Parts: sequence; C-alpha cells; structure tokens
Amino acid sequence: MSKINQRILDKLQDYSKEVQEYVKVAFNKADSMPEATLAEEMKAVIRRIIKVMAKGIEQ
Amino acid sequence: MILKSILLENFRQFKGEQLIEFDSDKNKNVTVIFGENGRGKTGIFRALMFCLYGKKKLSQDASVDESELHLVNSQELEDKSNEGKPVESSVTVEFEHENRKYKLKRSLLGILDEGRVIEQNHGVKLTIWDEEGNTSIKKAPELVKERIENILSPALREYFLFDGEKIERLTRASTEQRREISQAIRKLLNIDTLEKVIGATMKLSRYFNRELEKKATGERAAIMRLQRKNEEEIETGNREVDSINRELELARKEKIEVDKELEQIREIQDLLTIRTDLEVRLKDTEEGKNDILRAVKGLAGPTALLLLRNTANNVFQNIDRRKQAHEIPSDIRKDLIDRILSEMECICGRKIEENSEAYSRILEWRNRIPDNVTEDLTLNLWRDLSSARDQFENIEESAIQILTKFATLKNDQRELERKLEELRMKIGSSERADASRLDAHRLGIDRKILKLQHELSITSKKLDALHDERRQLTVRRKTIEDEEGIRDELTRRGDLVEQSLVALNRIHDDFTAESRVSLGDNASVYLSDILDEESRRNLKSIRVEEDYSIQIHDRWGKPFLANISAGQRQIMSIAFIAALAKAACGGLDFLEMPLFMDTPFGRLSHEHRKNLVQKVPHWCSQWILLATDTEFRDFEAQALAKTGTWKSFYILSARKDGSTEIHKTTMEDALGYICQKGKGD
Amino acid sequence: MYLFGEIRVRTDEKYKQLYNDLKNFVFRDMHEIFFTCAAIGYRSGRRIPLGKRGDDRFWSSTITPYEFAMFYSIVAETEDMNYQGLLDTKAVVEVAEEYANAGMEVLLEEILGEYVIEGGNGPILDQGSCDELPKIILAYIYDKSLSEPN
Repeated sequence: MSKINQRILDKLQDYSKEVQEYVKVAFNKADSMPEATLAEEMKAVIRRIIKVMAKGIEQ
Repeated sequence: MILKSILLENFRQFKGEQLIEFDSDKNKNVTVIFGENGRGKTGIFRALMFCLYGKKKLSQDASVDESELHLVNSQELEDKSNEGKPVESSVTVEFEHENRKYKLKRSLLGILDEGRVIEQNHGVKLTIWDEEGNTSIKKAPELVKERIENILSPALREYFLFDGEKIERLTRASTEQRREISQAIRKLLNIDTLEKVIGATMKLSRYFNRELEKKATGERAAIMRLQRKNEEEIETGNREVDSINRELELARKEKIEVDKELEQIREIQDLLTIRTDLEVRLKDTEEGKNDILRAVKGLAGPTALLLLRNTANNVFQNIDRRKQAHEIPSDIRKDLIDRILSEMECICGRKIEENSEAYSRILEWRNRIPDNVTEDLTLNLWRDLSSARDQFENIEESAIQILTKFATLKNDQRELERKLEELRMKIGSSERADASRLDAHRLGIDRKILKLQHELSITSKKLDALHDERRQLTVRRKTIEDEEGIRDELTRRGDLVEQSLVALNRIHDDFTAESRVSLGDNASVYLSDILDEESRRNLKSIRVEEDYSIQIHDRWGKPFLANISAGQRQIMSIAFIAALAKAACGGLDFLEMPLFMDTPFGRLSHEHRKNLVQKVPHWCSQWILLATDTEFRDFEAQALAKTGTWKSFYILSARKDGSTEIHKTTMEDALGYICQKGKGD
Repeated sequence: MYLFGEIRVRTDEKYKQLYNDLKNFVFRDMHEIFFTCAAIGYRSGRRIPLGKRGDDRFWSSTITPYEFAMFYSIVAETEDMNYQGLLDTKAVVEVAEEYANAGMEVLLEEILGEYVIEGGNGPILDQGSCDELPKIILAYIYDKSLSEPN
C-alpha cells in the first residue's frame, strides 16, 4: 500500500464505519484487478456490510 | 542523487566518444553547457533520459512519431554502412546516491539499410558499488528499471528539465497550462488507485440506481428517471468533450505537418518566419485579453460603488456636519432631557415654565437627538462611508488601468490580424502553386480549430449546468426518501454506495486541494527568492486556483496576473516548476536532484538574470545550465563567476561533417571566450 | 446589517436564470449583481416593487459592509437624511430590491439586452456572444459613474 493510503484512512475517520469498511476493502482489492472486476466484487462486499449493519441494529 | 558524468558514444549529433563531467562539489555545483541552437544541448538531456529510463521521446516531441526519432549518430551510420557494419551507440551515466556509486550503460545498434535507418535496443548494464566496495551487476531490463525508479521516481523525471517551452506553457492561463498542472498534481499524488476505486464505485452507483428505479413509484420514480437522464447526458457530454479534444489534437498535428511542408519551399521561407512571429504575438495578445477578462470579473462589483459616489458623499457630509455640531453622538442623553421635561426642572435646579422659550428650545433639542440605537447605526455608517470614500480613487484607477490595457491589446490584436492577412495574401499569391494550396489548407485548419474551441467552450458550460442539476436532483431525492421513510435493503445498499462515493470524492478533492495549496506556497517562496526588488514589493504570492490555473497575488491579496510583464511571467513560471520539482522530491527544502535549465534567460531583465544565477545554485544539488550564445553573454558569465559556484564550461561546436564536438574548458577560459564572442558580434 | 437577522434578498422571478448566468460570466457573486442593479436603478431614479413576482435569490449576510453602507445612504437620501428609517433592516433591503429590480431593467435596456435571448421564463445570456461581456459591463458601469445622475 502506498503512502497515500494511510492518509486516506485518516480522512475516513469522519465517515460511518460502514463507509470506512467499504473503502478499506476496495483499496485492498484495487491493486490486483481492473475497475470493472472491482465493481463486481464490491457488490458482494456491500451485501455483507449491510447485513452486518442490520444485525447490529436489531440487537 | 548526484550526477558525475555522461559518456556519449555515437549518440545523436555526438560522433565517437564524448564525455561531460558534471560539477558536483558542495560549493561548486554549476556546469554550463554552451552552444548554438541545434548543436545538441537538448541532445545531452535526451541522452540522460534514454540512459536512465530507456525513453526516446521528450515531452517536446509530442507530435513526432517514435519511429522518426533517430538516436544513432547519422555520420557514423553513413561511414559504417559502406562497410556493411552496424553502429553501436550508447550512453553511460555515472552517478552517486546514498553512499553508493552507480554506472549505467544503455546501448543501441543502428544500421543504414537502403536509405532507411533501423535501430534496436542492444542491452543495458547497471553496475553498483556499495560503501564497502562490493560490486553487483544487473542486466535484466526490469530489474534495472526497478532499481532506477527506486532512486528517481518517475514523477521526478518530468522536472529534471526546465526548458524554454515548458516555462512558456506555464505562463498563460490556457487549457494547456491547466492540463499540465492537473496532470502534474495527479502524478505527484499517485492517485491512480483512488481514482480506480472511485470509478468502480460510480459503476456500482449506476447499477443500484437502475435496480432501485425498477422498484420505485410515484415522485421518487420520476426523480430517478430524471437522474438517469442527467447521468446519460453527462456521459454524452464527457464523450463529446473527449471527442472534440481528440479532433483538436489531430488538427494541431495536421497544421504542424503543413507547416513542415511549407518550410521546404525556400521562396517563402522569410515570409513564413515573419508569419510565425506575428502568430506568436497574436496568441500573446489574445491570451493577454483573456487574462484581463478573468481579472475584470472581480472588478465589476466594486466599480459599481462609484455609481453612488455622490450619494455616499452627501450622506457622509451630512453626518459629519452633525458630528461637528455635536448632535451625534449627542453630548447629552435623550432620556436625561426627557426627565427634565417631565419634571419641568433643569439640572441646575431652575424651574422651566411651559410655553417659555427655554421649554421650546429644550423640546427642539430633544427632537434633534437620535436615540442610542439610531446613533450607533449612524456612527457606524459614517465610519463605513469614510472608509469607502477612501477606496473610490483606487477603484477608479484600477478600472481605468484595466480598460486601457484591454483597449491597447485589442488594437494590437487588430493590427496583428491586419498584418497577418497581408502576409497571407503574399504567401498565397506566391508563384508556387503548392505554396498557395498549402496555405489555403492551413487557413482551413485554423478555422476548424477556432470552431472546435468554441464548441468545447459551449459543451463545457453545458456540463457545468448538468452537474448543478445532478446536485439538485440528489438533494430532492434524499428529501423524498427521508419523508417516506424508505428503508428497504436495496435502498440501504444504494445509500452505502452513495455515501462511499461522497467520501471518496471529498478525499480526492482534499488531496488535490492540499497539493494546490502546498505548490502555491512553495512557488511563492521561490518567487520571492528570484524576483527583482521592485517586483518583490508588489508581487507577493502564487496560487493554484481550483481550475488548476496559476494566479499571482499582489500585496493586498488581489489577483494581479493580467498586469505583470513577460519577464515577470517567466520568473513566475520558473518558480512554479521549481515548486513542482520540490514536490516530486518529497517536499524537502533542498532539491536532491540535478536541475537542467535550457535557455531560461529569454525575456528576463538583467536583475532577474542576476538573481537566477545567484539563487538557483542554492536550490538544488546540481545546476546544469544549457545556454546559447545570445543568452549567456559577458554579463551573465561574470555574474555567475562572482558566485563562486561555477567550475566547468563545455562548448558544443560543429565539426566539418556536421556532427558536434564537446570541448571542456575552465571557467576562467570560458570568461575569455565569451568576452571574445561578444566582441565578435 | 448592523442589526441582527438574516434575510433572503429577492429579485423578480423572471431574472432568476439571468442572475445565474451573470454570476458565471460577469460577476463573482449574486450580491454584486444585485448591488450593481440597485445602484443603476437609483441613479436612474426608477424603482419597481416586486409585488407577487419576487423570488429568493441570496442571503443578506453575503452583502458586503460597503454595499450595505450604500443602501443605507440611498434610504437616508430619499428620507431627507432622517436616519430613523435605517433601523428597519428589512425595509432597507426592500428599498434596495425595488431599485435593483428597476436597475436590471435599465441594464437590459441600455446594454445587456444585446446579449440576451428569451429563455422559457425570462431573459438568459446568449452564451455564444458573451466572450467580452465582463469588459463591456465594466466599461458601462465606469462610464455611467462619470455621467450625471437622473
């Protein structure tokens, strides 16, 4: 991960933990695949994040 | 990184083996390479780029096809082709970095085959000596590339060379300037990954919106349809902009081709030179006008104050009079007078009779005095008007100045256009039919370029309006969704994507904004270092605007670009490039990299030249100055010599066969040589 | 301005797009356009109430102190230098609105009309012909400031 990514993590503190999770995962995957593939992979990631969030609210 | 030497073997104009050793002592770090245009000054820089990065093209070669760029020396090619042998061409660079010594040699083989030049890569070898004296050798191109890029990031290589053209490109707020700067910032930040994530998130956003639209009803569905239409229009707009830019690029390339052909026609060569000069000056005037139009935007509002000058004066004088008459602020409080009147007794104890003169006088007095609140307001108004009145003269002067300047430029423009038209007729009516044909073709291309630029401007503005509309639609949709409490799973997923997109875009904007600010601040420091005394009093800082154009501010923080001279522009540009180099170097105060400057003195005054020569050696570890005999004369040489930072002087001179020879001399001999050359003119 | 409260400053609804266009092409901000129009209207001695045709355009807090001082001065002059009237900020702004409304009409009559076309709801800038408009407007304002007011 290049230097810039640490600064991104810092700036993400202003946003919800779901957004932070999304961005972290996206960055980790981004180096190894083209944009279109990344978009497809992130669909599943979003489903997962929302499910976890929903469970959290129910509790 | 310290450059020690460069050895050229049959590379470009340099036949045989020729060596340049760069000055790299702490105190003597300036090397001057001297030669007329076309003698190979840029060739040395090309050699460096080729050796370090395997690059054949420089940014100035943008319109040239790589297959037309020949690196192997042509004289040697011809000599050897009689023997049927290929020519080995190579560049060897020796440098030091972090206590290690490096020697990099990159080679080419070239052969002349039936009039055609064939070149191919012939290997690369990197030798490294560490502090203990151990040697390691790398020959695999990928390993060499990796090693070199670790020492010199690719971002850096853009800023090695300050050439006249780059300096020129950055002086005007043109599309090229903005694109160059925004690209530089993007490269410096390495934000490719961020942009990839943003791209993927936008794809997701579109996907979810389509899914949601299928399920939406009522007003929400209507808005989502509008959003989709808006997205599509934005995409179309972006494609249009790209397509227009591509057409502009092609048109410009075509024009260069036509000009090349025209240049072959000897009969009109002089006319062509004059025309190029006129066109450059015309472009300058047009860009000057554009600068002024941008500056005017900030003046229209303040100038309107002048419309109410009389009113302001009247009111000011009225309040002033009342102040003088002690009516405001009143010396005595209204409520005190009220008490006197109600008790019908003066403060001295005397009784006041109703209907007496004293009574009516007191009544009159009371009516003239405003209450506290009105009083404060009136005093504040007096203060503001007083301050505004002081500004009237300044505002008037600024308006007159800028309107006069614009009128002058407009006149110049008309004059230049007239001359160009005359010239065109001469060229067009020349005896050579091909000249007329080419010239007519060229005119057609010019018209096409104008039309495309106009289309570009209109489409850009359309896009701006569409982006505004997109923002409004997003707000409206959110309101409806909030109101209707729509919270199903799909919406939540879509929301997460939207929020992430907002976060990513905000971060992207923050980074680029921070970069802009830091570039501006650094450039301002360099600027104050080299500006002449008079300019320094007025020109205080450089800013990179949101649209990536460069602006310069005066000591009152007002934009001043429209008013600076060509020389000041050049200084501003050099300061800015230095700031870019600094950013590429990781932002350290001292640039640990060699700066090559190719003919930077151009339109500079004597004082500016002196400042450059005195200050730049302290900016960086090495300064390699590439200069022509018209630029680097007695004055510059003496000024540089006085700094004590200069040691070696290399003269590039022509051999009989057309190739270039490099002579090394000392600074002392150089001074003699330049003095002689000056006398010879 | 010296007293509290943020007010929405209004213009005729038919000038909504024109204000936007002028902000993009000629001026920096809404309040500058408004001020210029009010100054022109006052100098021409014309004022036109907004009536039902008024539309929110911008917040009063963006008006600069100098501009507000001028509005106060206008009200003071029309009220024969009685400064009581200045206490009612809302009334001051309304006076400015009326002069600005007339001022825009004058502006269109005297110079801007050549550069606008009819949009759906009112005049809009003809973007194709606006290249030198900032300078043209500046020259107009400056020239007007030299002439005698009506």
